[in-house]
This record gives sequence, C-alpha cells and structure tokens, in this order.
Amino acid sequence: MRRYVLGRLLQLIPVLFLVSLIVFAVMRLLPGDPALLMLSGAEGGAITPERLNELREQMGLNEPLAAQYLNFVLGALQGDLGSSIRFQVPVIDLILDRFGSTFELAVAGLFLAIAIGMPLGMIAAARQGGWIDSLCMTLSYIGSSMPVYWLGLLLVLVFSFTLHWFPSAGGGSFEALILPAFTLGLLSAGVLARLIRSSMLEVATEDYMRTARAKGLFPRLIIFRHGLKNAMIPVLTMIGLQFGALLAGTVVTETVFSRPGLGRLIVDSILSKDYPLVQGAILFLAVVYLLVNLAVDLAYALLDPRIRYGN
Amino acid sequence: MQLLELEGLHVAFSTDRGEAKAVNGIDLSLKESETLAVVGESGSGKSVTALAILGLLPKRTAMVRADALRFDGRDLMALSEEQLRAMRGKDIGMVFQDPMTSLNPVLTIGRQLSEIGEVHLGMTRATAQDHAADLLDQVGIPQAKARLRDYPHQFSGGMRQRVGIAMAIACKPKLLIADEPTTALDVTVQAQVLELLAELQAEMRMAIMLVTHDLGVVARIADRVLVMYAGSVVETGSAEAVFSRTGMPYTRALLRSVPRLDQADEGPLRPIRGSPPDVMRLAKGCSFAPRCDLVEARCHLGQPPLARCGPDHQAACVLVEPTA
Amino acid sequence: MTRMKKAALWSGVASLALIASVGTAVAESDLIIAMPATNEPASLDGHIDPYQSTWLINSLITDPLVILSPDGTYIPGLATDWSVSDDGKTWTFTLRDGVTFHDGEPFNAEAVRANLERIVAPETASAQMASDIGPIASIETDGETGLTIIYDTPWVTLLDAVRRAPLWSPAALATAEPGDMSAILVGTGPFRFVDWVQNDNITLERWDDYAGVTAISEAPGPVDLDSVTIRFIGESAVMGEVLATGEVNMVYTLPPLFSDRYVGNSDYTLLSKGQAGTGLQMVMNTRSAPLDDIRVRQALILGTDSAAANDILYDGLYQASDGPLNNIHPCFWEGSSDMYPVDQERAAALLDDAGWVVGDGGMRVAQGVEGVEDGTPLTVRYSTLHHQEIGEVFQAQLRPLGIDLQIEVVPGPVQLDMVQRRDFELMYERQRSPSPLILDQVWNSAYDEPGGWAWTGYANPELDGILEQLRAVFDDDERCDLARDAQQIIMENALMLPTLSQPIIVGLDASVQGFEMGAEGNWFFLQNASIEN
Repeated sequence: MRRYVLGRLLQLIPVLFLVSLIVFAVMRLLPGDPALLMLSGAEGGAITPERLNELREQMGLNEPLAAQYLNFVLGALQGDLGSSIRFQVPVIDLILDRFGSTFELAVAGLFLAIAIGMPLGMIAAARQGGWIDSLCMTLSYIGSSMPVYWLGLLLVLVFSFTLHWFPSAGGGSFEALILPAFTLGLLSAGVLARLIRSSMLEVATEDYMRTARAKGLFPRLIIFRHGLKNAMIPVLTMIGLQFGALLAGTVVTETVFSRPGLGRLIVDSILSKDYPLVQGAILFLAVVYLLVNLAVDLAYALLDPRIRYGN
Repeated sequence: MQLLELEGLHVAFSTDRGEAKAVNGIDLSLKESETLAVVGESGSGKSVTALAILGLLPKRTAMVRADALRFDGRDLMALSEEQLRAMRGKDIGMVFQDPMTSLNPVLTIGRQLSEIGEVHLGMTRATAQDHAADLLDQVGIPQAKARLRDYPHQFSGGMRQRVGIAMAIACKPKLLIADEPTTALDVTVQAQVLELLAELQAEMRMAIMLVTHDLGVVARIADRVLVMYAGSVVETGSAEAVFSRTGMPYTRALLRSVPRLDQADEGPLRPIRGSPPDVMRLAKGCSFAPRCDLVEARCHLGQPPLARCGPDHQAACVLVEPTA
Repeated sequence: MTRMKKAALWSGVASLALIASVGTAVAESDLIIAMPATNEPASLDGHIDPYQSTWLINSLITDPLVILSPDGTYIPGLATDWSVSDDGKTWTFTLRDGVTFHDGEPFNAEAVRANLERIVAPETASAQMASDIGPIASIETDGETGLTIIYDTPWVTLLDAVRRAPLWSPAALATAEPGDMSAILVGTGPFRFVDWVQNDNITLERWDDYAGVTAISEAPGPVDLDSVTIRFIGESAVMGEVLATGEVNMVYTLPPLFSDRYVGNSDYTLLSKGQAGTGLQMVMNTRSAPLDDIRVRQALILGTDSAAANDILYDGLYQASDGPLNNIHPCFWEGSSDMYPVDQERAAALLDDAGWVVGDGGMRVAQGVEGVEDGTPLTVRYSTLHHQEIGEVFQAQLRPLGIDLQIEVVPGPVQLDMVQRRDFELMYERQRSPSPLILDQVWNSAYDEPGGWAWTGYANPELDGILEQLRAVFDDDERCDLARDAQQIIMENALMLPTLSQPIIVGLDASVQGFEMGAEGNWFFLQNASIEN
C-alpha cells in the first residue's frame, strides 16, 4: 500500500509538467500584454511607447519564451513560483493567503451537500414511487439546475437584505460562510441526492440485500449496514469530483459574496495576464485536485475490501 | 402434524406487458424433520414459491395470495411485517443459490454471522462472535476463528455456500428453505454441501424444503417430491413413489433426460422437446400438452386436476387412473 | 450584608456598567466604507500601482505635497509654497517644518527626494507615477525645507502628479522587504495602516500624533474618526443594498440604478460628482469601411440620442458627454453639443449619399461603395468593456435607419488585442483627467502604435500640431483654447461617437458628518469627518 501511494505521488510530476506547459502556452497565446493591461486601467497621464517597453523590460517580459518557461519550471521545483506582476509579491504567498478561504468554502459546501443530499436521496430511495420520492427528486432537480449566480443573489436578497440574518459580504467570520456555503452546497446536494437514490435502489436489488432480509435483520440495519456501504462506492467518486469542481469553481460565489479566494484571484490574474500568478495558481490547484483524487482512491480501499493496492 | 401448510398459493407479477402468473394455485405441506424437494425447470415457479413463503418477494411488483399459510401452527398471513421479520432467520432459515452474490462483499463473514445472534438471540457482540466461530466449525470451515475476519471474496465457492448455510441455521430453525443451493457449485463440491445438509438435518431435526431442477440431488436426500410445471403442481408424493411409479409424463421425461453415469455411451442426451410455456399466455388445457409424447385430444379440454394414483402419490394427468 | 448595602452595591455596579457602555459607545467612531472590488488596489503602493483608488487610499495614510481642493484649486499640503520657472524646467517647493512620519522619522526635503527617486527608479517598475512625475534631470535640497526639481524639457503637469504621489518614510523604504505592505506604508497622514485582507477589507486606525496642518484640515491635531475600514464588495446588487442594511455607513460608489432607494430618505445623503475626462466615448476606426467614410460616421452620431438613453437606462442620472471631452471638463467645447443634433432624416440622406442603400428587410447594403462588395450589409460593431446597455439603446435607435449595430462586450486583453490588429469599428476608450492632455493621448497620430492610445487611424497635421502645443503651454486658459480648437476639428471630422459620462455617486448615512468630495468624484477627504450618533 505504501508503495502504491508513493507511486501515485511520483506520477504527479509528469502530470504537473504537462499542466505547466499547457498553462504557459495558453497564456502566451491569449491576447493581451500585462504591461499594457496594467496601464489601460490607469487614470494618469499619457504613456509613451518607450515607457511601455521599459515597463515590459522591468517585468521580465522581453526574454525569450523558452527562457521564461525554464525559469518558471526550475523555480517551481524549488518551491519558488516567482513574483506576481501585478502585486509584486511572491506568488506562493498570494496563493496560500487566498487558498484558505476557498478551501474553507469548498469544505463547507461539500459538508452541506452531503448533509442535505444524502438524507434526501436515501429517503427518496426508501419511499420509492411515493410522493416523498417525487418531492425529494423534484427538490434535487431544482437544486442542481439553479445557476450559482442567481441562487447566491437570491440568498443574499432574502437572508441578508430582508431578514438581516447573515452578512452580505466579507470572508472573516463563520456567519459570512453560511450563505456562500449554501449556494454551493445546494447545487451539489441535488446532484448527490439523485446519485445516492439510484445507487441505493440498485443496491436494493442485489442478492445480498435479499439475504439480509431473509436473515430477519431490522430494516434500519439492512439499509445502513448492508446497503449504504455498498451504495457509497459510486457516490464517493462523485464526492471527489464535486470537491474538485467546488475548489475550482468558487469564483462566482466568491464574487457575489465578496469573499477573498483563489477563484477570484485566478480570474483577475488571467484578465490582467499576470503570467507567474496564473501559472503558479493553476499548478497549485492541479496538485490539490490530484491529491483529492488520490484520497478518493484510497478511500475506496477502505470501503471495498476487494480493492487492495500493491499486492 | 404438518410443520408447514400452504394452500392455494397464487403469485402474479405486474410487468410492462401485463400480468404474469408465476404460481397458479398450488398446495404444499411439510412435516417436521422431513425433506421436501420442489422440482421443476426454470420458470416453473418453484423459487417464487419458496420466496413467497417467507414474504421475500418485492412488494411493489408481486401480488401474493393464498388460501392458507400456516407454519408451526401459526397463521403467517395474519402476521405483521415486524412479526414476520422476527421469524425470518430464526424459525425459518433460507439458503440462496449464488453464494457469490448472496453475501455482502464489504462486510466480514464474522459480521454477517454475528449480527444474526445479536438480532435474534439477544447476544452481545463478543458472544455473537464466539457463536459465529462455532457455526463455521459446524459447517466444516477450518480455522473458524481466524476466518471470521475475512471477506467473502477470500473464500472459495463451496466455502461461501457453507457460510450461507451457517447463516441460515444460526438460530437452529425448524425449517430450512434451500433455493437451488448446489446449482452454482462444482459437482464434487455439490456432494459435500448436500452431505452437510443431511448431517445438519439429522443433528438438529430440521425440516428442509429443497428447491432444485437437479433430479440427482433429489434422489439423494429427498423424502418427498413436489413437481411443478408452468406454475402448477403436476405431481407430488413420496420420493420412492414418484421415482419408481411416475404418474405424469413430464416427470417421466425429466427423469429420462438426466444423464447417468451407468448409462454412458447409450446414445445422445434426451432433452424434453420444446420449451416451457410463456406464463403470460397460458393455453387452455394441460400446460404440458404441447410437449407431451402421450398427448390426446382430451388433454386440451382443461388443466387436469391432481388425481390420486397411490397412497401418498398424486399426479395431474388425464392418463392417471385414480386408484382407491 | 444588609439589604440596603446590597442594593447600593448593585446600583453601583449597574451605573458603572452604564457609564462604561456609554463611554465605549462614545469612543466608537468607526467609518466603514463599501467600495467595489474592481477598485481594490494591486499593491497599495502608490508609487507602483497606476490606480486612482490606490492613490486615494494612500492619501488617508500620508499627506501629499499639494492638495487639489474641492473647488478645483491647488492648496498647500506638506508644501507651503511652490513655483515654476518661466521655461517650465525648474520647480521649487517650500516644505513645512516640524512634521513627522508615523514612525517618528522627520519629514524633510531629503525624505521627499528619496521618494521621488524611488518612483523613477527602474527597480520600482512604476507603471504610471514615474510617467507622471516626468523625466527629472536632478533634485536639489536646501536644508530641511527647500526642494528644487529640475527637468531638461518643460514639464508643466507636475502638480497633478505630486498631488497624488504618496510620500513614505525613508526609513521604512530602506528597510522594508518588497511586498511587505505594513512595513512600507508609513506616512504622515491622519490614519495608520493596520491590515489588508486581500479581496476583503483594508483597515486603518487614527494616528493620535497627526499634526493636521495641511490646508484641508479645519483644525490641527488628530482627526475625529477612530478608524476607517474599507470593504470591497464584488457584486453591484450588494453594493446597492449594503448601506440600507447598515453593514456600512458609506458607499463609494453607489451604482446609479440603486439611488432611488436612498433619494428623498432623510436617513441618507447622496452626493454626486462627475469626473472630467472623455466620458464613455466610442472611437471610430477610420482605416476601413464602413467608417472610413465621414458621411457614415456622421450618420451614426446623428442617428443616436444619448439623452434618451440616459432617461431610459439611468433615469437621467448620468451626465452629458457631447464631444471628445465631457461637458463638465474645464476645457469642454460648447460647440460639440450643437454640431450633430439628433436628426434621422439627415442621417438617412448621408447614408444614401455614401452608397449604403436600404435593401430588403429594411437594413442597408452597399451599392457602389469603394472597396466593398455590393450587397454587403451595413454592420457596425460596438465593442466595449462595460455599459453595453447604452449600445443596446443605440442599436434600437439605429435599426430604423437600417444600420445593424452589433454589441459585443470584451474583456481588457481582448480590447487591446483588437485595437492592435485594427480590427474594430467602434471601440470604447475612456480617459479620466481634468487635464486637456488626454486629447493629445487619444488624438495625436504620433501615438498610433502599440502602447499608444491613438486608435482611430486618423492623421491630420493641423490637429497634431495643436495637440503638441498643448504640452508646451503653461497657462491654463491658453491650453483650454487650444483644446477647444482640437475638439472642433475632431467633431467636424466625426472621429468618435459621444455617449454619456458616468458620475460618481457617494451614499452616506445620517451619522456621517464632515465628509468632503474632491474636485472630481474620484477623490474625497476625511480630515474633517466624524460620526455623530
């Protein structure tokens, strides 16, 4: 098992190389020049083209592309992701500063997604065909179809502006986490509910469930001990994917709720062509996502004894 | 006194194409310590009968109706779901056909055994674990205590079936229903499992209802035989009577179709021609008529009732001359 | 303890609690400002960032040499007096005595020199400020309070740069690690920098040793406010509400569409001020069809009605911008408003003349237009970063004329890319400044190259000549005259489509007193502000 984990960790390296190359290439291919972009938002006097070139020189943008890429890679291997063009601060500092907030939001969203989605799906499966089933599935469809932006604004309107229960902006406190977490969580909950329901219904038709009934076990025992563990296997995959999506997709929620976060940082830095920041942040997210995947795979081994690695 | 009495069982399934009658009014009875073999091809309704007795058919799609269903003096049809649950696994045990899928792959064998003791016998976790080890011993699995920690996929097919049997007899039930317990196993292992069942029966004075399509199995351990075809009983009686004085052409054809070691090289296999009827569209008349070698005109008039052809022997065929 | 004594004890405790609570209530005078997230500074160092919001926030932490007062004149900041030589190459400042930085370092001529040198130093990579300070040849100090800045070429706009340039403690500049905000932001101003949680908020607290001697302060000494918190809000709907919910007591800036929530409500005050500049202008690409023909360009202006758009979209809250400079600009040419009054008939006639005739379906197609295949529909792209709703109103207004105006919203990088490839028809280009030099930036064909702001491809030696003179002339009135001449030429040649000018609306709740807006909407002063409950 240890060797398996080690092997998977080593596999990260070629993947990250590829990711860094793609990000580098795409960013260079996209239109826009960081120096020019920085100045286009400016509100001072005129910029002469000489001045522009000076700035580009100072930003290190005039070096040949291969040299720029090599510098980046060598630096990254040593843990130095360079300095942000726009902020003039080490990229790794910026990333770590914002990541905490994004991670917090993603975890809270996932927690809510599981806390809401699991019971919803399980109740629907237990009462299959009845009105509760229809109700639960309708709720789940609504949940997973709502646009994040719209849902976020709706929650702000009702719970912040009208009822004054939660703040409408900011990222510092626990109260400030609730509405954004619900915005993300409700969507994921809808997806998870449907998956849990269908997974449990499938499991219900398995022979071992019939055996469990034939043994005269309590219904709750049958569902939770015999059914749930098996039903969770496909759901675990989805949870892993959802978490990855949450991590990467928090930007809209962060904007609506004015939260600091990695999502907004990346979007802003793409628009201002802040090469080191985009490269570093995407690489960082890639690492996080790959590690989450690894954790999910290892969790399978916990759930399903037929899966054991390395033997 | 009969341990199990079943009268007029009807089971129908609602499908997309309409209603499918799986069992058409059958009667069945079993004494204590007796072994009854319920025999038939696939689709004859024999497994459905077994599941219906324990109420294990899916409630949404199966409609089960019976005139009477009594076990050990109790009217099973009057019991609530909770009362039935308390009986399952305790008074009536069941063994299923495919040991690979009948065991939960993500739980240890120990867990799947010990939970029976916890639920039905009020045992503590520790006591139930010891009980589980004893059961594994009883069914002939070596190193029982160590193997409690293993998972189903770590056992061979035969071993798994033994575990299934262990689960079914955990509470020393009065009746063990076995639904094709050897079908999925190798021939050599089949014999072992059957021997085990016979042993256990002798030890625990347990009645066994053995559902099977394999007449070889029947010959070995059955006291009485019930032959089903297209959802109805076509012959029933003591094993000896049914085998030696077969009344129903279907039974005869079945017997003839079984390959025998001592008749090797005696020519090609002799299957029954034709195939079992579609239960959705049962024709008027004897359901076996289309495939019967001895068919006559009057066979098409109606389904022949079970007619007595011996002291403990009935067959549903127009050719049976009712004896006194 | 007797009953009486117990009662006395409890009432004593109660009154102490009451006094304490009242005491703390009185002591809490915290101003919380909501700003749009797009206003958030990049590095918060005004030497590096090219953003107005950075300079504005810096002005709370450190006083500049001169201050642009609300009435538009320059008043003493940390410089008591200044003058420029006749040839425009030598600037002399007399600095205040006895002022210190937050860290105790003295404010003097050496400190100013250190700051100016840092601004122009290549390592600083100063995007804008270095440009604005100009090509300094040398700096001389005379004691603590004398400062002379010498240029090789005349530099007349120094005051506009110096009023924005923050002055940091030289000790802090010397020892701070690059990127360590709290270490650098040591100024002379009324508030100390406390913390910046990026994408969330900036907190400042009062500096009790503030001298308060600049001309903007009504009284010397520390200011009334205990603290200032700036919260960055990402979503405009939230900006509109956040004052009403009481989460902040000032909104800068309020989206115009939400102003009716607060107008006429005595619990709130709304202040509105424009920003001088070009307005939300759309420059035209005169290099290729269809806008290479002046008749088509004029038809566009004649066919669009900005005032109507203002009423429809913003309830009339936006301001007029009828030419290359908006109407509140000090050098605005009045003739811009009259040159192309809304006239659909005249527009139609011009289009017919130019060879764009009405085809099937009511839209115009080319017929005998040079360089254009017959039958090509008249489509004009309206490419903008924001405020696309103005374009949408224009689209509806131009459809009866047979012009297909296609609106596209582009992000910054794409805008610059399209300009570089000269692939656009109408392109958004806004500059904000009360100085007429923005005309030179945008219309002088010398700047028609990468990094330059002259995008239309129009070259006219007369116009270029006037614009170059703008840089050399010191006198404000003379400059404005030249600017007006330039605007006339631009309007006569119909080189841009004027739309509207976006005002800055500030919302305050009734507790905020003494708040002052700057000469333009993009500045304000808190030296005299307080919170009265």
